[in-house]
Amino acid sequence: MTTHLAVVKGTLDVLVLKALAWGPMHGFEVAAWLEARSAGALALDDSGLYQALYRLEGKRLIAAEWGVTENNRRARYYRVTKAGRAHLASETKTWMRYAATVTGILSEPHPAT
Amino acid sequence: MLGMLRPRIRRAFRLAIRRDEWTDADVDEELRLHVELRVEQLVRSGWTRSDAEAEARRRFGPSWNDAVRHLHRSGRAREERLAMRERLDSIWRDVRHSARALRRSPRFTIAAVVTLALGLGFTTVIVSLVDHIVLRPLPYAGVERLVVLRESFGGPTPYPYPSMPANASHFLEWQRHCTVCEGMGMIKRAWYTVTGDGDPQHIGAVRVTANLLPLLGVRPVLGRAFRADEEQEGRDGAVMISDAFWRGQYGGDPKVIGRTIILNDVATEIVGVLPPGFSLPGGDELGQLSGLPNPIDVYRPLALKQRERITSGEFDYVALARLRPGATPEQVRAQLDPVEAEFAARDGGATTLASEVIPMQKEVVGGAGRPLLLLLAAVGAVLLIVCVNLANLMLVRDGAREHESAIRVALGAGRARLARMALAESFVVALAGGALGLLLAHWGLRALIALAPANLPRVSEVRLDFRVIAIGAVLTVIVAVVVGALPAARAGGTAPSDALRAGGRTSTNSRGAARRRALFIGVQVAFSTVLLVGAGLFLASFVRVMRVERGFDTDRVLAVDVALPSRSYPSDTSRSRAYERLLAEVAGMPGVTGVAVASALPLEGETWVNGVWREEDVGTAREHPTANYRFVSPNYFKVIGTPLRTGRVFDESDHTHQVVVLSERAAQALWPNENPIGKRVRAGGDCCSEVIGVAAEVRTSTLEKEGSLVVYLPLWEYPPTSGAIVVRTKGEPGVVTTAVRSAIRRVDASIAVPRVRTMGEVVSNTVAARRFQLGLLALFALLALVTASVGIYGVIAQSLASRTREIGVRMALGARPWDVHRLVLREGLTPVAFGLVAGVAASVVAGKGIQSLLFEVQPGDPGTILGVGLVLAIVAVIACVIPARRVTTAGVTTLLRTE
Repeated sequence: MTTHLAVVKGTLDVLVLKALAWGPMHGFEVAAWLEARSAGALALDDSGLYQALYRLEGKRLIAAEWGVTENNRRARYYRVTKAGRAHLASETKTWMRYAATVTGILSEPHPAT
Repeated sequence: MLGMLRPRIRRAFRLAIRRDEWTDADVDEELRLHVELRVEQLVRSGWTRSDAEAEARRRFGPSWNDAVRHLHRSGRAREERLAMRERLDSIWRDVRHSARALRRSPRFTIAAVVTLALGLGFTTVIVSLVDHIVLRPLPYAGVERLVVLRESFGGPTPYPYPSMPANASHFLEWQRHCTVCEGMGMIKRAWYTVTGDGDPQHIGAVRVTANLLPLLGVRPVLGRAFRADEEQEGRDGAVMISDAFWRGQYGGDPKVIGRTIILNDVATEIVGVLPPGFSLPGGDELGQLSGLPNPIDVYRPLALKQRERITSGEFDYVALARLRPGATPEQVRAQLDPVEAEFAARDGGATTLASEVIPMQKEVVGGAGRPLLLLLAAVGAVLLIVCVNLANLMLVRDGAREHESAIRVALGAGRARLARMALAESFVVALAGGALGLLLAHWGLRALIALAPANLPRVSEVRLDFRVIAIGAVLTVIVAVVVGALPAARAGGTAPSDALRAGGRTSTNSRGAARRRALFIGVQVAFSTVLLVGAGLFLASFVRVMRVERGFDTDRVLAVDVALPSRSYPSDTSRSRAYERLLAEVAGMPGVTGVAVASALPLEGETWVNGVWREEDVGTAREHPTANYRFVSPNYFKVIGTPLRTGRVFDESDHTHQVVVLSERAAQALWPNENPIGKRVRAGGDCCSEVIGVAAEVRTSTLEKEGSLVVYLPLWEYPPTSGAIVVRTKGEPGVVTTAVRSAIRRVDASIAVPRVRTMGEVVSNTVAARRFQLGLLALFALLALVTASVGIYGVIAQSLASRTREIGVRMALGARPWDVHRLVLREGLTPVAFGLVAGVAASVVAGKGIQSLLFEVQPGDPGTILGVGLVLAIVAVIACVIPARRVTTAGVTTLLRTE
């Protein structure tokens, strides 16, 4: 098993928004989606995931409603709101620029000694 | 979409206490599903069921219970946040809804916002006047411990001024006896002619003891304070200047310290500049007869002459003291009165002397408090009328929308929601009115300060600051609640079935609504009546004051203040000659028909007061009538228009012997029912002057009150260093102003001419405070009248609108327009009559409180009340007839077709 990467503070919210951008999901589906995409590389804490969901819902970046799964089990489904979509877009852009800059600097070859 | 609404609706209907339980249950259910699904996933990938269950929980962190507790908390926080946002959203929705509704009825909205803005704006203005002038402490450190010390006289004959500023010799003695005083200081007025650079300038100044400014907690911002040794004659050549004088005269030059300034031909040195905003209370703000200049530009040490240290006749020094912490004015009085008794005994004991110890704040604000509080009450009444009116207009609108509301109720909207919508509307209107009112207050206050009478204390301190704006904001919210409360309380109160059945006209037709309308009219009329009667009484007082027999002419008479520099004119003879030259020069100007000099103008106060007695009388000055001495040139009576009752005025032959002219009351007091001509008086103790004439009474200080007895002496007996040239002109007096100034400059360019006024302006100045009060009160009364008449009109129009068909039927059956008018007038005028009666009764009672501000008019003045009644009745009839006419001229078919 590879070492888990700790999730950088604040990025979990964006990741959750990204997951939900694909369509309404309940909590476990979000967790499963993130685990699948990160191929287990991210150290995801299920408690933290729900915190993030509640936090986003409180900010009305996502909205929740009770629905049923394919197996007819009651589940709380989350979907991205309009504000959430805008937030995701702007956060994504910021993250990309940040990551590109950091990557650019770090991939600079060492000066010849 | 409907699905999305569900949690929101659920949240809305949940009680706060139950909400938490529901949330926790939601979280638990969510987590249960998560664990189940995770276990299934793990089992699929080969875990045993029990390991999988443990692992699923482990993924929530080291302690499952902690994780659940934590998530419960987060869930609750989420719900709270959402609930709050929803509340805000719904408020915002209500506000937008009412703003839209208000936009749809612009006439109502404009009327409501404008009346509210006027009401709130004027209230804010008056509040700021009251706050800055009456309520706030004077801007001196520890002002609550500062007191003004004065002296009061008692004796067999009444004194024209029973209370006077302090005497210097008394003050020196007090200083040794008052142990509860931390310090005591004296102020004496001074007027200086500044020469040196440019035109000579006449400026106001004071001489102060070295400790006076430190006593007030004032330190110069530049330079130094006075030293104690500068209180000696010969060393008193140091001056401090005010911030305004520093900026005006020296352009705020920081190097001004050490510069020489020539005051009345004496070179003095500027040693300090006082802080901006500091000023001593000018005029009579520190008590009657204190007469300090306003503004005060120069402060100079008070060096008492030996004569001043011992004479007991001059009560000319404003004395201030700072009490020790905890000491009371009564304690000071107890320590000073024995000293006073001793002084009285030394003077022969015919008069008694007592000290007066008045808190400085009280002395300064004193008389201004009552008129300002009256204005506050008046503007409060206006605001009340505006509110009542607005509440009624709101109800009328609601009535019109009752149908809509009923449908909302029938569809399940809660009563609370309807009430909130009604309140939202009143808040939108009130906030708009409040914002506009603030703007009005900003302008209004500036205009008011410009128009304020010069003797309104502390007016320079008045401004629209945060505190006043906060009061205005609170008032706005109160208005919003008051105006919105009634419609809100009624919202949804009618059963929807009734409202729908009646086609939206229930409440406007019901007995309750009629009573409410009558009450609204009655209240508005009652308050308007009180305001109108108040304004009427002030108007009547003003008219009577202006009609007082003042004893001089105001038409075509010019008053020119002059000050002779003492170095160029050191002696009586030189001054006498200067006046003669001035008179001759001015008399030669075209348009001038007469010219004279007087030591003091009528209405400008009594500067020289002394005893007067008959030749045969003995005793000291205080045992005899006191008179105001005035020195005038022979032509004076003719030029200013004071009629001579008997005898003659001064002429050149009188240079050889002493003569006086008495005022009528002076003659009457000395020789009751005798011919005074040829009798001899001791004027100020000198024996003796022959009475050659008796002149008509003249108002010396104010129009309202008779002044002291007056004794006129020829100008040559004591030519004053400053006085007034009185000029009678052929035409408009303003025209010769420049000519007179240049004539004076031709005689001597160093003679300062501070101001040239018409006698009309002199009169106008003395009634400035009265005019100010009257103007504001009249404005408020007018506002009340207009608001109330609009209110009556609105109520009647509304009542008629709901009965259009009924009236149509009546007219179809043969009722004439007059019958309809009678019907309307009866409905409208009955509450008006009740309001009028209540208002008159209230104004008679409230009038007692303003009696001291009135002049020769009683609070229950029948003429005023009759006039007000008439005005209100006419306005009310017009307000009723206009809507009635509209109905009766519409034609029966139109009326019958109206839904």
